Amino acid sequence: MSEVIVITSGKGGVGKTTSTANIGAGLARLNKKVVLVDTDIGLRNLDVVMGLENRIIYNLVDVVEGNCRVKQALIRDKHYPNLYLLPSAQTRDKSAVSPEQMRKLADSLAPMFDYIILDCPAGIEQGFRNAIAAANRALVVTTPEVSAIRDADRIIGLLEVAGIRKIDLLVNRIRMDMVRRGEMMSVEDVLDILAVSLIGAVPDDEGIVIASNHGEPVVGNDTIAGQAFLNIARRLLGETVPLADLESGGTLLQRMAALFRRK
Amino acid sequence: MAHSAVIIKSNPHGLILNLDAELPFEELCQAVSDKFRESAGFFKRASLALTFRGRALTNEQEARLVDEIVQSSGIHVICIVDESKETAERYKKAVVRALEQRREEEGQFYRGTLRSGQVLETDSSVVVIGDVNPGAQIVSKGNIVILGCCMGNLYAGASGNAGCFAAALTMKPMQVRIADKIARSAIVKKVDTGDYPIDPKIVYIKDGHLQIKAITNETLSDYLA
Repeated sequence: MSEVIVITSGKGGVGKTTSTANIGAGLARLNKKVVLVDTDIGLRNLDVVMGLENRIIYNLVDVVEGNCRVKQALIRDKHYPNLYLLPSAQTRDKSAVSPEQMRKLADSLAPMFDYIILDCPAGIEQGFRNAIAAANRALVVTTPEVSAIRDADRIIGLLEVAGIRKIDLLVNRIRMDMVRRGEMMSVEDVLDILAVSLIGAVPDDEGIVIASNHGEPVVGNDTIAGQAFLNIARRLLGETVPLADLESGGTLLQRMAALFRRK
Repeated sequence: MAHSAVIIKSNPHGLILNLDAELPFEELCQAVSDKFRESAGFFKRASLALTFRGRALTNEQEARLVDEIVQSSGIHVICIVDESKETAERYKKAVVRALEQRREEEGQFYRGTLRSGQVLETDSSVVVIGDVNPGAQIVSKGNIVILGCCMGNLYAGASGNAGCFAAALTMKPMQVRIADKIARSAIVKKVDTGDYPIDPKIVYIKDGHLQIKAITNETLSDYLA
C-alpha cells in the first residue's frame, strides 16, 4: 500500500515546491519508488525546480480528462530512475480537476509507487481541497515567521477536519544566527505554537536557490540543507534520525536533539 | 421642414438611410453629419453595413456621405449594400464576407507578448510581434514567425503538414513540434540569465529530423530545396 503525502503550507513562498522536489529525491535515493504530483494547476513550478519543464507532453489534466494514459504523462527524473513527475497543466485553472478525480488518480498511481507526494498550491481554495482529497498523510511547511505560522495553524486545522491524522511539521528557512540573536523564532518556539510533531528543520541556504535555478535537487549533497532533506526522507520511512546540526558545532544541536528525543 | 432630411433605420446587420430626394446635396451632407453626431455615443465604434435609400447617388456622393458618417460618429462602415439587391440574406452575406476578409488580412498577426499559460491557436500561418515566454504555446496549422524571443512551446504544421517551419529572432524554445516530430531544448541554466542575443534561427524538417539552423542564405535554400 503506497503512502499518499500532501505537502502544504497555506502561505505561498515558504518552500512547498522545493521541499517536494527534495524529499521526493531523498526517498528515491533511499530506493523507494516515488511519484511527485504537481497539483498547482495554472501556476506550475515543480517541473522547473526539477529541471524537467522541456519534457512535458501530457499533464495531470490530460490524465484526468482521459486524453492520455497515466503512464504517458509521467516524466522520469534526470538523476533518479525511480523518481517520476506528473506535471500540472499551465493553460488551465484549479477548477479543471475535482477532489473525486484526484482520489481516482491517486488510486491509479498507487500500484506503481511506494510514495505519492502531492505538491499543494498556496491557499485554502479548490486547489488545496483537490490536493488533500487523496492524501493520508500531510507535511506542513512553514518558516519561522508569524504570518507563515498563522497560516500553518489554519491549515493544520483544515487537515484535521478533512480527517488526515498524520500531520508533521517542516520548519524551513531557519537562520541560526538570527535565532541566536533573538530576532527569529526557534524551532522550539514554532513547535510550541503549532503543537504538532516535527519532521525536520531546514536552514536557509543560498545553495537551495542556486540548485532550484539549475533544476537540480540539493538532497544528499554536503550542504546542511541537503543533509536536512535527506534526514526528513529517512524519518518519513520511519527511521529515527537525530535532528541535523543546523550550525556547525554549538549547544543548539544538543538542545534540538533533546527536543527530538522528548517526543 | 415638414420631415427631416434623413431618417435612419436599422436591420440586424446594418443601417438604412432614407434620404430626402429634393434637398441639395451639400445640405443633405450636413443633415447626415448632424444626425450621426447626435447619436455617436449610441453607435460607439460599431462595425456596420450601410444602405442608402430614396435618392440616386453617384459614387463620389456616396463616398462623401460615408466619409461624413465615419467622421461624425466613428462608425466603422464595412460595406455599402446596394438597395436594389437588398434582402436580409444578401445583406448578411455581404457583412460576413467583409468581416472574413478583414480577418484574413489582419488575422495572422499577433501583437504583444505571449505569457506563461497563454495559447495562440491559428488555422493559418502566424506572425508574432513580441516575445513568447516560457510556458506559453503557439499552435499553428501553418508556419510560425516570431519577431522576438521565443522561449515557449511551438507547434507548426499542427494538422500534419511536415513542410511547415518555425522561425524566431531569438530561438530558445522549450519544445518545438512540426507535424509529428518533436524536439526539446537542453536546459543549461548554469549560465542562463534570460538575456539572449538576437540570433535568428529557423526550424524545419529535413530527412525526417527537426533541424534548427541560423537563418543564412544556405539554410534558406536548403529549406526551400
